[in-house]
Amino acid sequence: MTINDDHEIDHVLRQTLRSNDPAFDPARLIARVQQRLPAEPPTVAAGRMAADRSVRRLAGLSMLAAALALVALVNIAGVRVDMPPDPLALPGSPASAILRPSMELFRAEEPFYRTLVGLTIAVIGVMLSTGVLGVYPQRSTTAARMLLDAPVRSIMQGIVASLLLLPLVLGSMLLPFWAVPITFLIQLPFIIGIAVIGRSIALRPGFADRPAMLAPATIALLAVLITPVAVAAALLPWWWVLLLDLLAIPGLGALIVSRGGTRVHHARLD
Amino acid sequence: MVLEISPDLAALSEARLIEGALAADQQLFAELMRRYAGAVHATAYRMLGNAQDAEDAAQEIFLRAYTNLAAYDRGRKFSTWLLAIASNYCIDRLRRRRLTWLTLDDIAPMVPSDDRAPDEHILQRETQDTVQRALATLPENYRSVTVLRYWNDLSYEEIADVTRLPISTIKTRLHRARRMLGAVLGIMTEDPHDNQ
Repeated sequence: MTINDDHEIDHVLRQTLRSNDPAFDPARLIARVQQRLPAEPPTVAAGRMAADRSVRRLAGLSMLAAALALVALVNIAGVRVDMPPDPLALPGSPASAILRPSMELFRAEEPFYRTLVGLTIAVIGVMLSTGVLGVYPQRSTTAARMLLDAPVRSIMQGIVASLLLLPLVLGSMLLPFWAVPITFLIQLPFIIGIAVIGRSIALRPGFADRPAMLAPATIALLAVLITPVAVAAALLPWWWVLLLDLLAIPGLGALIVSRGGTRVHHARLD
Repeated sequence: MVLEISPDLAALSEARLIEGALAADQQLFAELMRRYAGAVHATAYRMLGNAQDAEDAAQEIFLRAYTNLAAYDRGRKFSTWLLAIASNYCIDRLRRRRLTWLTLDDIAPMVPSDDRAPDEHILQRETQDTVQRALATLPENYRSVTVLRYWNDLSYEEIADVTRLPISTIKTRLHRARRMLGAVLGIMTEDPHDNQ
């Protein structure tokens, strides 16, 4: 059948299209929305959301600052002194004149520099993971709920993802000085995984009076999670990367299972 | 899950429900949701193309409606205002979807999926899929006017109110969308001049 009259096709389409809607349960939708509705009136909720948006922007800026700090501090502190010489630090290179004195200073003061590196990683790790919760509050909460609802599946997915990323992680450990931002990018999913774990612990009943994204208790929790990584960074240069990745496995898995925090666990809704 | 309808709430006017919702009465807002859940879900489903995304989107649309309720102009129809939020949200979501999230579901066969398709629904699903595939061939802007027209039964004027576009533009988009849909569904021939 072919029709070329616009009114006729309007009629036919109306019949064809509307008769094929899938089954839908409005009660479930309403129950889910009611669970998420703010307790305050819409005007107050709108004001609070505007304030939250400002916090998210600030958190985004702090993430950027943390990334820049990571690059700057790692270079200044000479984290990679155990690695092969960097092309930039070769004799005759303009950069070597700047880098060599600071690297030699830190070689001489190794305990000091290692402590500095550990502290730096702790601060940057907490800043980044807090930033993730601030910039993506809804997604990180959905992923955190997924971790609570489907822990085994999350861990399995996290292990698979970590194994797939392992060559990249190991490769990043061999990169020269100037490639620190690449290392940082490769570690970003794991930092997000740590943030998801922190959020999931904060979501547990009795942990906090109100589930504020950037509550001091949540930030303290992230600091606790990052501490072993920072200690490892001070004691075992470079192996802290693997420890961070290992710790982040459940959070990374939950992030994947929830499609980046966009899907909730089915069983939770039934 | 069974939706219980309170006769008292069902009898309330829309204006009264909105006033109550503005005073943070969640029961009254739930009644508003009950009245429009079908329309919002159908819009989201037809725009986004799958039931899971549609449910998530419908939640977000109602949450946005709640937090923006103070900005609702009582001179407009509530349904039109709500569908404008739905339409804009779905278009935003479709644009964001272009950055598809990496998922390992497809390469981790040891992890069982939660999604199950009952055999008895396969035929119905095939028909739905055909319609949905045809709809997915439309550009986002054409898709939104088509959904508003054929699933929400809106007039040209109402669609113009939702999309804030001139009626002439709505007519043009609908005309072209009809041609494209008709051609994909095999019920009419596409006019080559329409795409020029």
